[in-house]
Amino acid sequence: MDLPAAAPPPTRAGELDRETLLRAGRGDPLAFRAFVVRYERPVFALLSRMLGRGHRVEDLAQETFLRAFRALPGFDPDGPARVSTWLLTIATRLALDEKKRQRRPEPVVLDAPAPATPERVARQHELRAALAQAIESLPDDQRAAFVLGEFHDFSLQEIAEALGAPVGTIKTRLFRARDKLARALDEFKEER
Amino acid sequence: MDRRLLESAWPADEPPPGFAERVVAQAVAKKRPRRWPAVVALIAAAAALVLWVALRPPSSGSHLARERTELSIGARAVAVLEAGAQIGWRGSQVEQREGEVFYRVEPGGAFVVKTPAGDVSVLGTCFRVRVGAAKGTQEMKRKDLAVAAGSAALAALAVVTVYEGKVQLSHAGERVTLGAGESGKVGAGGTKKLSAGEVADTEASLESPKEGGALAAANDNLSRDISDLNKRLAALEKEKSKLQDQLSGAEQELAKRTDGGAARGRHDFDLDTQDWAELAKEGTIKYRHPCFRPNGWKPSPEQMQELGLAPDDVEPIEAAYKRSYERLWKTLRPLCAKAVGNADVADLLGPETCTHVVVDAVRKKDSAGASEAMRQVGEVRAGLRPAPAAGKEQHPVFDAFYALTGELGAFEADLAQTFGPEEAKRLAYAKGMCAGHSTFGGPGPREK
Repeated sequence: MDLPAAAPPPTRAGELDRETLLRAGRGDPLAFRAFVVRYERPVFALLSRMLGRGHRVEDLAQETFLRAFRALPGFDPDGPARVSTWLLTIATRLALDEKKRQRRPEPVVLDAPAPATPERVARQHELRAALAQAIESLPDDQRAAFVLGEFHDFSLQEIAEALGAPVGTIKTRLFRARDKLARALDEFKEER
Repeated sequence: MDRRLLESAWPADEPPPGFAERVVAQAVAKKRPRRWPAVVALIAAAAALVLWVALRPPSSGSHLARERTELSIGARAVAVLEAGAQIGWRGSQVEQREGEVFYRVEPGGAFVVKTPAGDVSVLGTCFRVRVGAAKGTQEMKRKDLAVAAGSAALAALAVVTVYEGKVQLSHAGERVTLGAGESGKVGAGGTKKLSAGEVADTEASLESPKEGGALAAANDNLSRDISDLNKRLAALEKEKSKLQDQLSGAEQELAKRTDGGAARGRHDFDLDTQDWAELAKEGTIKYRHPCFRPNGWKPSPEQMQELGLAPDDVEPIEAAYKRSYERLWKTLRPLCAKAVGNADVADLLGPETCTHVVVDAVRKKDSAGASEAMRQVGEVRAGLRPAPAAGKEQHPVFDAFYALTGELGAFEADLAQTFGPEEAKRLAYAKGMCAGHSTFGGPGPREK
């Protein structure tokens, strides 16, 4: 087999390979399927943590990928943005729009796998209750910054770009969110 | 924060089985034109027929794409040509000489793409055809121009990928049918279905249009021109970047002088009382103001996305701009009309020009009064002097600058009604918002 004349730029760690991305951008359904399969878990994780589990998560995940499909031809795989950052930014904005539309915030549902012993059951229950309370009390902008930073490894700059806010504002939002959740987790750790 | 602990306590939804397939099906379906209900379609068809006669795409033509180009091929096909692709068409017969083309064909009779490698026949589908010379045959083609047609046919290879419907590849009586999701090749070696792995290998083995063919020379010239322009653009960008660095350095130096070196961490025109106290010493006036638009300013969908706002937010933003204009113009218009002697002329000049006209006109008549007014505006903003009572007549320069320096705050307060104070602050100083900035040099300190 002849090799291409020039080697393509290396694929970024953890990201979909450049060639598949380009093919997806050209409308190749098989490549687009590979794109969806690669990123569906982080998109579901982000949306369910932003909106609460089960609540419109699949609909919005679908909308995220459809928007990405329309916008992929304009995405530069060699540009500064990681494709995961770009995609999760679309998902974040959809989630925030959805939250704005909701009159009442949906309660966060935390259902960790059932622990083995009665003591652990009790502790996990306390933890979930404490965390649920802390998470529910987070304003949407703090929750978004926290989820992107803690679960999806966004840098401060990337969160700022995703949420359209200055880095300084993001630092404040993260500090406040972490402070609230850390207090809930600390109580749990002390009991263990 | 302990990620594992957090994840175990804050689990997320997993994608349900078949999610990717459903999304892909939706994406492909949304690309297809929607089928209208029959009654509406009948009514629309009558109107469309009239338009179609006048505007129907040409039934024949040819195109050589220098960039991605979408073309209507007759009445029922659309072709998207990648750079370097070349096609000609007559009715439902297309001749694709080289390059990569994506086709969408609506049902309604035979549609044939003829390539030097073989023919592709379809009955309503979408598919992609990439035509190129197999690597290693290019030199032979160049040397043997006398038999160009024959050698091209021998050397050429077409790779076809089908997204919907069915496609038949044919070459020298040999045929193979491809369904949705399948790929195949047609060339001197005959026709063959390809596995996913073979598609990539076969496409990699094709010469790209840029590497050879009649297009190469034209494209090379174009590439050189673009390359020259890019170099010039890069040089200009470099110069711009250098100037921006210098400007930024100068601004930082100024900031050090005015606030003892503390990092501002806010917009240059987001002035606090300390900033104003410094400016008031010289009588300098500095302000950012929302764009002057009588009917408000409406961000585009792209700008809304950049601002991180939802489509519903356009209306309150547009309305806030309109109210901002009305507030400012209510103050500036009579001052301007007095300065130019005619309200109609003031209307023609608008707020921006009127501001300068008022300041210049008053300065000429009453230089000392204008200077004092500028210092006083700074002092009020610094909290060193009480704000004037509403409705009490002031010096015209004071009135103009007091309104202008307070407008962004009023605009922010207006936005806060919809977006809350934190978001309103961000929006008031956001890059993506339409705003102007002005600095009027001060007359200097008061004489003692």
